[in-house]
Amino acid sequence: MKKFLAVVYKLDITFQVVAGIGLAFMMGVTIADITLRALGRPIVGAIELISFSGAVIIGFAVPYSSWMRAHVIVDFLIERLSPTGKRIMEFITKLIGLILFLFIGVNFILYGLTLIKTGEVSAGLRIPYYPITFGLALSCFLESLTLFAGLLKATGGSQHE
Amino acid sequence: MSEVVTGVTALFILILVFLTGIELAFAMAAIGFIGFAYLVGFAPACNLLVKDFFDTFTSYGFTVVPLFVLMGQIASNADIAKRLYRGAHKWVGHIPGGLAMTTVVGATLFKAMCGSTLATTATFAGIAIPEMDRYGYDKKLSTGIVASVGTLGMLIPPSIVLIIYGIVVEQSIGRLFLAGIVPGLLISLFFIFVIYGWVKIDPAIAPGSEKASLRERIRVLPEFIWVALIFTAVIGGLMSGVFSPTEAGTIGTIAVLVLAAARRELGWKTLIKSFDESLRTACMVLVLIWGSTVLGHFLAITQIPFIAADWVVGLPFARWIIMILVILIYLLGGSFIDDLAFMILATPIFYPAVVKLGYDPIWFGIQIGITIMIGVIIPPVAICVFVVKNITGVPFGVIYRGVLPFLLSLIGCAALLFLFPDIATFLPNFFMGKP
Repeated sequence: MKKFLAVVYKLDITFQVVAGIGLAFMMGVTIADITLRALGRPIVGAIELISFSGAVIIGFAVPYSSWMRAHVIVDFLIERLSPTGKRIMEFITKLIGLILFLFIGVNFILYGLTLIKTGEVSAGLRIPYYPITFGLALSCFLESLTLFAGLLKATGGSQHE
Repeated sequence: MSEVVTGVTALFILILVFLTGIELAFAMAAIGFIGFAYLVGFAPACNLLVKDFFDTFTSYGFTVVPLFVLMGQIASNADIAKRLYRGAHKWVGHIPGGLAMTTVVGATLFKAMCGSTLATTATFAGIAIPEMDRYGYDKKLSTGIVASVGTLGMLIPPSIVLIIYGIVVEQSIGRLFLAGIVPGLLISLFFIFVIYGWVKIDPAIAPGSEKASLRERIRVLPEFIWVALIFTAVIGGLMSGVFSPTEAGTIGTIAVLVLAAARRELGWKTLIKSFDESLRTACMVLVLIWGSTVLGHFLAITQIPFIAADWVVGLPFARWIIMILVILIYLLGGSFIDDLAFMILATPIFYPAVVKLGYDPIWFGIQIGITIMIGVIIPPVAICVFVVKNITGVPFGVIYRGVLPFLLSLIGCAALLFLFPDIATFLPNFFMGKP
């Protein structure tokens, strides 16, 4: 189990690094666009590039945020439960999240396939949308894995942070 | 089951699901999805779930969130707050209660770069409380003021709360930023008055410290000038329409980055830490927005927001009483789930009613900002108090007693804003014209 948790953690970190690179890229494009706009030569499709970076930044940061328990939860009631009660609740909530993200991931794949078929591209740079949806699908699957790791931790009581 | 009954049932289930400790965003998305599938169909619900995820994360408007969060994290991790605190200390530190006032001045200036409440509270808990301890300040005053000043970021630009409110209700972020300045400064002033009055009544709680020479004071002036320059570039650019909010966020972040790097206060470790923390915060916020968007689309099918708006407007009370009730709902809701999460959840429901009642959306945003400020320092979810407790180890009772006078001043300021909406709307109307 420890090996599995370590692999998931490493994958989460890798996705977080990609998100960070996305953030730096977004800042770079924005500042370049502002500068070039002042010189009368704005970057064509800068808004599209920034928007797509947004998907990478947030989409890829989801699994690591879950690992670090950054998402908002209401815990004042479960804090009053016994350790066993807490574990059971954590097991159930992680399972719900896992199913939800697995489901979203599968639907993203289907959505991506539809986008390939329809040949949908962005208006300015004519960038196809489907790589973004496949990327988000990958992130959703990793989020499911992360929640599964959380589920294992809830049942086994192991910590790997 | 009719659409309205389905919607109301789903909202009750949602509240119960919240209590299980599940991530709020996941619960909102799941309930929204199930409800939409029940009313419209499974295939459209699948489409909604994925489309809302895609649209939220690829929205140009939302890219502003990680940028302003990053700006604040860099400012927080690169000791800019410490310099501002020391600078403010030279100017007001010698006055009785001066170190507490220094905390207010320092935090107000720091807020011009950092929109994060928790980052400010944590930063000043680490800087200001040990300093106040050194001069024998009463723990009530030192912890109370630090827990309270963290809230200033809800109003003083670049406030993350105002950015999210602006995006949710489709109002100009520049206008909201301008509207937050006067109330934010007013609250800072109120805090200073409270400290002054408290120390007058009980001088033992805040012994004086040494006075800095005029030379020393002048030497720290550049600290304030840098902040003023960055603030003016960000807000001025937004206000004049030269920059979009995303561009203003980038300019601000790069300015803070350059300032910190030029002072050799920004190593790779600090930079990576800032990126990591801002990604997590931005992700938390945007995942919440995605969840509430899915839920919002389901609720729109049930007509609940419109029925609620008609019902609220039709209540046999004066509109100001209704508005107070709406504010109390925000306060109550935010006390049990996270205040920001509740704002994201409740605003699409109450906003149509607020507009129908004839209230200014910008004013409402600021009023909600103050309500959240109150929410984060009152139990049970007094997040700023929790941060101070974790860092200092001072008992909750002591911090809450210290927060109380500042809480009263916040309520006073909320009342003033309620009676005189121009406090918030004057500045945006003056600089950007009436909408």
